[in-house]
Order: sequence, then C-alpha cells, then structure tokens
Amino acid sequence: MTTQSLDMSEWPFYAPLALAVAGLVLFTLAQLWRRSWAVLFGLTITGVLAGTSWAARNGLWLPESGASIGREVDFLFNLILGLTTFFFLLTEGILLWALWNHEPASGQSPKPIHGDHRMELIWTIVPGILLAGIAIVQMPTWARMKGSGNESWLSSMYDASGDKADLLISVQGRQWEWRIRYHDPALPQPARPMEWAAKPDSSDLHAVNEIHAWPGAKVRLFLRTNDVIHSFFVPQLRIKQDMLPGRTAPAWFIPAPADTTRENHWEIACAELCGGNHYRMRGLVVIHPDKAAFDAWYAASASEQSRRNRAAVATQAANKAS
Amino acid sequence: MPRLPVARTIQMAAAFFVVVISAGCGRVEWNDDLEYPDRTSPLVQMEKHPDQGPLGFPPPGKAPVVPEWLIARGVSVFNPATLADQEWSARWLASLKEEIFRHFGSPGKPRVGAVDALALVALANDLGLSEPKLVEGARLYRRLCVQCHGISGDGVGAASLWLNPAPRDLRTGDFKFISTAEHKLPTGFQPLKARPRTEDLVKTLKAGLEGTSMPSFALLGESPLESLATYVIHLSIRGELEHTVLLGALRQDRETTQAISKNPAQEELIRYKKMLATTLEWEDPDADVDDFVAKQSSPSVRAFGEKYLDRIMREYEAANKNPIVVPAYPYPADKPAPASSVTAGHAIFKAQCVNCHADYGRQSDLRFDVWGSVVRPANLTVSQYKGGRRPIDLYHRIARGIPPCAMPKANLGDTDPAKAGWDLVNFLLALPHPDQLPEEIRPQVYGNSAQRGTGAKQ
Repeated sequence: MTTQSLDMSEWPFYAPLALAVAGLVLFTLAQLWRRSWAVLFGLTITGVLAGTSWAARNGLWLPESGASIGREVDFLFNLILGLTTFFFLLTEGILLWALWNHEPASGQSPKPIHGDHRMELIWTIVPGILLAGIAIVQMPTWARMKGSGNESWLSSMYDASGDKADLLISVQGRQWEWRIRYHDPALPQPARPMEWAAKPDSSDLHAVNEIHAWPGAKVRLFLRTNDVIHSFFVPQLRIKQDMLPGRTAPAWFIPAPADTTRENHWEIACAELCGGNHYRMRGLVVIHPDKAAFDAWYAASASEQSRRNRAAVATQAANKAS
Repeated sequence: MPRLPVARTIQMAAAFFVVVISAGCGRVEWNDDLEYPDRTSPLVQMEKHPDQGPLGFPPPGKAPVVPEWLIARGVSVFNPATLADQEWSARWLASLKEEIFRHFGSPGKPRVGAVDALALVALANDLGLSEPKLVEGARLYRRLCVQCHGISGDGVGAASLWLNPAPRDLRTGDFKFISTAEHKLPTGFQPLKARPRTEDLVKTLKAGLEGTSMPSFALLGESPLESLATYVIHLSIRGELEHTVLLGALRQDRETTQAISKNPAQEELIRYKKMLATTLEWEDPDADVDDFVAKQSSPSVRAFGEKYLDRIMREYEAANKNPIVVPAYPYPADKPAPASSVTAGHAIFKAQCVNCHADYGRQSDLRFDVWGSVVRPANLTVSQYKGGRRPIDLYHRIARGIPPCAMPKANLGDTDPAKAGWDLVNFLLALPHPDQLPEEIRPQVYGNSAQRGTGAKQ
C-alpha cells in the first residue's frame, strides 16, 4: 500500500496530503454517524452474507449428499435458496438505499404509498407465481421421497408382496436412543411389513443406535416411537421424518456415498426437541464399502444373538473361564 | 417521528447476543470441588424377601422405596439420622465419614484405597481402578449419569422419581445382570457375593437395559465406557462400605437384639463383633473375632473398613477369574432348536418358573427387591429382555438367578444340567413367537386360536 512507500524525509511535501486524508476520514465518519441506521443495516447484511459464504466454503453447509435422491433434493434446495436470496438482496437493497438517502435529520418526509394498487398487485402476483412454480417443480421429488413415485420396489408401501427391498429396518426412537431391528436379509420378507415393524420376529437382529447398509442397498425404514415425538434426521441421506406416538412412518434411502472405498459414518440426529437429553439422542449410519463387508458385519452381529451360533459363544466363555 | 437512540440500540443488541450465545453454556458438569453427600436415605435390611408382595407401584413423583409398605411386611427399615442420638454411634458416624473420604476421595478426585493403605491400593490397581481412569469416569458420570443415578450412586437423581423401573441404587453392592454367580472359595466358609466383571458393566452401558429408562451409551467408545464402568465400581464399593457400617450400627436381627437387651452397656462392642464376624470369617472359619478386637483399644471403624474393603476387592478379583461356566450347546449348532428341547424347557418352566412368572409372565405379581423397591417378574412373551437377548445372557440369568430380586437359580437336575439349561433357554427364546413353539405347547401358552401376531401383550 501507499503508506509503505512513504518517505519521511519528504514529510513537508506530504503534509497537506495527510491533512486532506485526515479531513476526508473525519468527514466520512461524520457522514456515517449521521446515517448510522443505514450503516448498521448495511454492515449487518454484509456480515450475514460474508458469514454465510464463509460457512459454505468451510464445511458448515449442508453436508455432501450420500443418497440416491440427493441430487434432486439439493436442486430444490439451491433453487429455493437462490430465489429467496435474490429477493432478500433486492428488498434489503431498497431498504438500505432509502435509509441512506432519507436520513431523518434532512427533515424530508417520505411520500406515503399506502393503498397503491399497482405496487400491491406486483408484490402479490410475483410471489404467487414463484410459489406456484416451486410447488409444481418439487412434486416429483416429494412423491419419490414419500415412496409414491416411480420406485418399483416401493410401489406397494403397505403390502410388499414383491420382495424388492434389500433391507427392512425398524427404528424405534425413545428417550434417548434409537433401537434398531433388522429383518434377516436371508429370509423372505414379511407380507405385511408394517405389522412386522410393530412386532419382532424371532430371526430379527437387534441393535442400538447403529444402522448399517452398503452403497446401492435399497433400505426401507419403519420409524416408530416409544414415548414422545422424535424426528429421524440424517442430513447426508437427505431424510428428515417425524416419528409420532402410535404411528409407523415409512421412509427409505439408497446410499450413494461419494467415496465407496471406505466406511462412511453419518450421524443420526434427533431433530425434534424430545426432552432434557435431546442433544444426546444420536445414532450412526454406517455405510460399508460393499455388500460383502455388510454381510460380514451382519453375520458377526447375528452370531452373537442368533439361536444358531450359541454354541460358539458358549465355548468362548468356557475357554475364557478355564 | 422521534429519532431512535442508535447507541442504546447497539448496546441492547450486544446484550441480546450475549444472552443468546451464553444460553448454551449451562453447567453441564458439576464442579470438581463437589463432595459426596452423607447417606440420609432409609436403609432396608432385607434378610428374607417378604412373602406378600406390594399391591402396586409407588405413584410417579414418589420415591421408589416406600418404608411403610416394607415395615408392614416385616422388613426392617432404618433411618441413619437416628445414629446421631447416641454417643458411640455418633462417633461411628464421624469416623465413617472420615474413612470414606480417606479411601474414596471426592467426585472430583475419586480413588479406591487410601494412600497409606498400600495393600488396598495394590488390589485396586489390579482391578483396574486406577486414578486417571476414575477421574475420567467420574467426569463422564457427572455429565451423563448423575441425572438419574445421583452424585453418590444412590439412584435418586433429579429425574429418578418419574422413572419406572427406578434407577439402580449402586450402594448395596448388588447387581442383577452379571456373568458371575455367588460361589465359595475352596477354603471358603461363607459364599462370596457375586460381583460384576468390568465387561458386564460395559455391556450394560453399551446395550442399555431394554424396557427401562437406561439408554445405550455405545457411541462413547470402548475406553470411556471402561472408565465409566470403573467409576461405577468405585461408587458401589464406597456405598457398600457406608451401607454396611450404618447397618451394623442399626441392625435389628434377633441374635443382636437379644445380646444387647442382656447387656445394654456393651451395645457398641456387640454390634462391632457382629459386623466383624461376617467379614473375617468369609475365607477363614477359624478367624478369631475376639482376638482381632483385643488388638485395638476400642471398636474402630477404620480397622473394620480396611478389612471390609479387602474382602470386597478380593471378591471382585475372584469374580473376574470365575465367570459362570456355560456348557457347550448340546444340539447341532447350525440348526434351529429341536422341538424336543423346547418341550423339555417348557416342562422345566412349568415346574419352576410359573410361580412368579405367572401365565408366562403376563400376570406376574409384583415383588420387593433387595433395595426395597417394587419389581415385576418379566413378561416373557414379549421378547424384551432387560439383561440382554443373547442366548448366553439368558443362560446367565438361569444359572445365577437374579438374587437381588429373589429370583432363584433354576434347578437343572443332576442327570444332564447342560442340556436342561439350554433346553430352558431354547424354550424362552421360542416363547414370544407362537410359530416357534411345538404344536402341543402352543395352545398352552396362547390358547387354541393362537396365530402369529398374538404373542405380544399389547
């Protein structure tokens, strides 16, 4: 900057310039103080924009999608965010312009616009068109998210006679944990999965707080709660579904992580304030690199629980004892 | 329009942001200078579980132990506050407080074994009760457990009054879901109390207790869970020493009361000897209580405490080496349980279990447990197991019983106990699922119209 090239031996030459700069700064400060409301709003908006862009570039944004439906959801998200940002900037800009040019000390009184039909028409019809547009654009995605789109394996949500899902998982939320139950993937699926969700089979695998799957697995979830309202939220899977007492909420996902060479660990967070330890109601979605890794995990977990391998468990205990 | 005061607005906005931001800064952890509170809750002396169970659960918001209910059924309940009335017992109280602090420190600086009690410290280190682990465990405990289990492990944390089943009171040293059983040392005289292995406590922390308010803490990871389990052992040993000395000063069994009524002036000595007897004789039936007492100038809680801690920790040591031996599974391991096995298990169940698990547990009568709180024998038709659902968990319950709840261990007979034990497990695992029960048993459990879907009592 220029300050670095200042040569102090030539001080007398720079003196008028320095005085002029100081005067300009003082004048600007005085102007700014007179327009302090405009400055305050201007700084706030700039701060919000700067903070948001900084956050977006530093991993504080929506996490990278790991779901088959992620691209569509993100498109809608960005579309709506873009529209609202545009109008936010437009209205705030007008507000700022008005504050800057019509500071109260000037004594001008503004021209009243109450009852201006033309303007009212504009700010009613334009948002109306936009909202209708958004409503139409989001329809196919919403239908797919809720399981009534063109996913054939979900086509019979309430009576899956066609064995198309890879995993059926019942998730029971309670204060403050997720109780997970898997239908044995090696067995034929129940004719009425909603009934299975309410009542365990003897072959089920029981787990707590961990949902395991593999990339490309078609996973159907049945979300229930033991006590109060919880909400099952996995940002990477772009799923957020409330769990209401007495009801079973179906949901689904197909993991599509960007990096399939490793295990992906995503947090399940309860997104509905559910009591004192709500913050602690966390779980984990584990996406294994491939189906074989999932199968190995499933076999290991099931062998602890299942009736078949009890002998192995018992022998281990006996060996330990001796 | 009057001009708005800008400076004031900025000040207000700043103050507002400070309030909003600091709203998340509640005191998550208790301070490190906290001390364990003295025990004030009633002591239940349950020599024998009362024949007549309670009529219901205490209403929500009331303490889980209702002294009047217990007293009405012949169980002694004592109030530790009465100890301050007599000169000798007040001395015991003061000395107990000092001893407990010496051996166990405070929640901020927990330890097991006083610095100068080298033998105890060595035992504690062998058990993994090292100070860094205890400090970490204590910190986690104050963050995650204290809401229900209380700062001293008394089971009456802030939320506890609204929970059923009530959170565990750790201070009696009794545990329900563990993989060890009461047993005798080869040289032993008295049976050893069954102590949990660290991995039993870690398992409970990992899986939670299904059907209770105890959630899973699995996501904390292995090492923090182990520290937490270690701290639970610390709390339990601490509470048990306190419990034993208080009960020693208060107990009202026939032998003690008779001796005291004959010689009221000697109450302190009589009670002290009684307390010592069980502690000294546990491994040596010839231990001479009088000789032990003669070596001291007067009954000393300190001398007793060190003896008692030595006993408890060696019981833990023995438990770690002697888990319940689970016999090999007598049927082909890769096939479903044979119908004959389920039938045999059903016969054992009918003979031994239905008294308490009436109608397979669907109509169980309530009982008192050793803590004096109300429990319900499990409904075994709903496929929900507090102590774990693995076959080996069920085997452990059968092999040890659940003594704190007066559930006896199953009598598996002499001919082939291994087979009988696994038969019972096979039956229990099949019980909630009508389609898994043999034809002749299904109607006995689910009636004639039984179909899949009638298993759970909704």
